[in-house]
Amino acid sequence: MSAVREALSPIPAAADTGWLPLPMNTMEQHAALPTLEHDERVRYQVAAGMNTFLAQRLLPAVQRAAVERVEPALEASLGRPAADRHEYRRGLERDLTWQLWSRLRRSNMEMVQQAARLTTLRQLPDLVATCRALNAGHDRLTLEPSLQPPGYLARLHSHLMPGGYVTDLGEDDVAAGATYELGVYAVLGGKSGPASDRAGRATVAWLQEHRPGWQPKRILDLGCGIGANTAAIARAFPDAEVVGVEAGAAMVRYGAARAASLGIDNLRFVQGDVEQPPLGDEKFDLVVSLMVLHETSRAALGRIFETSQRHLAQGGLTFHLEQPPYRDKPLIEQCLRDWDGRYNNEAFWSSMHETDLAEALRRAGFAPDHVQETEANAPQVGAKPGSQEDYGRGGAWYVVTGEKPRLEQVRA
Amino acid sequence: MSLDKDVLIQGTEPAAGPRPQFFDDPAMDRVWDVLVALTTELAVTRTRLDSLERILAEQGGLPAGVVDAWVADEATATEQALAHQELLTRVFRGLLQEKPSA
Repeated sequence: MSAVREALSPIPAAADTGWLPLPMNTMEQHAALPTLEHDERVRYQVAAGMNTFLAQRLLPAVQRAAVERVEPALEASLGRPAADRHEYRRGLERDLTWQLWSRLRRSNMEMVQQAARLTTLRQLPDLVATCRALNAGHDRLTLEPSLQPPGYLARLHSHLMPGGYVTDLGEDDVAAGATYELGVYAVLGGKSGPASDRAGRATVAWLQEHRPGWQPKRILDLGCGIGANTAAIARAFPDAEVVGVEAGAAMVRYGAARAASLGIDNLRFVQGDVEQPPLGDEKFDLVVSLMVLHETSRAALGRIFETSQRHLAQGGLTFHLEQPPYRDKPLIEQCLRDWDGRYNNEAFWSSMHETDLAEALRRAGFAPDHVQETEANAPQVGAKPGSQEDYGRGGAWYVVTGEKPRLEQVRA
Repeated sequence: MSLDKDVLIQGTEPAAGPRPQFFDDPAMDRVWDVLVALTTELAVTRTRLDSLERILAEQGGLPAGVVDAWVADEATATEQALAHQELLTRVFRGLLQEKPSA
């Protein structure tokens, strides 16, 4: 009995409910959002609860198994400790606890994304009509019907979302955008805030701390998705003109309708490839990408950074927010952080962590002393200090910034 | 509410990309995949019953469509989320009890 109690990880006290996922009706409501029936709402909440269960309750067993079983087995077979996360992972992959935890995490992720797709498709004609009406009232949506989306978005559907970002079912389709919004909220259990915009709020908080009083006039968000984070930036800088670029037509149609319904009228959506956006020689004071790079490719990374340089106004700032680098972290933590890259269809996640993003930004034309590595954060809903982190889906973000000096600064 | 057959077919197209195998025997992966879905559906059903009981108690009757229109208030949603954790603990008890050193 005591052995059982010892092996069970503790459940927080009943009065402490901050660790639980939030129900779907806590999402920020807008006219384009799919309607959810009772069982749909609960299914997402159960799936969110499963992620909580896997991160808070079962993960400690994985970590114990790593120390007590995997590491000794690796040392016995290699004659030394594992040298890197790849060797360590091969040890983990032979361990039953890791196999079970991974299987449950993957199956749950597949299930929630499939559920979101079904919720969206069953009411797609209504969603299309609603978004069409919302988008008829403004001119803040530019589509590019001839766009060939990047291969990495078509070949691999990020985080297991069926259809990915770039499937267009035609007839003003918005399915990808609606599926995305539901899926993100359920996967994160609402911890990214009612508008799923924690990265956007973290960007605003960073700017307020490091550039107090700065009011960028024009802002560009590369890979804006449905513009959830972009909207947080647009709300924080109501006098700025904000442009979001995204490859998926069904993403930007939905995003523009969403923003219109929320009354955010300083945000414009442009369908385009972030490597070569159709923006002519437009310049922006602030060029950001938020949790986008890991869904691209090594070749795309350089071109996205060159795009940032090309479209940045003098005196402007480019700001790229991503998962923290693995460097110097324990191998077990590296493997946990790498999980989404290997098993959750995040194309460039794993190799991005072997890439020096600051160096890549310098290669794109930013002067070495104008490139900075930093951190950004905004509180997760209900998170308590010291609570178990769901590696790769929470915590503070890594940021690399590049500044383009004003002409007079260059001359001086 | 049951889904239209075409929606069901279109909506079960998988995401493009590889499907990992975690166990030596692929049948194990399939069984666990089904178990996760079954557990979720059981939780959904239990919650629906719970919601029904609450609605019946509140209204003394059950007009059509009222369950789908009903939204749990904050305290109820928290109670139901705790019930999900209890169910997961019951279903996956064996995993939680596993002794790594055994």
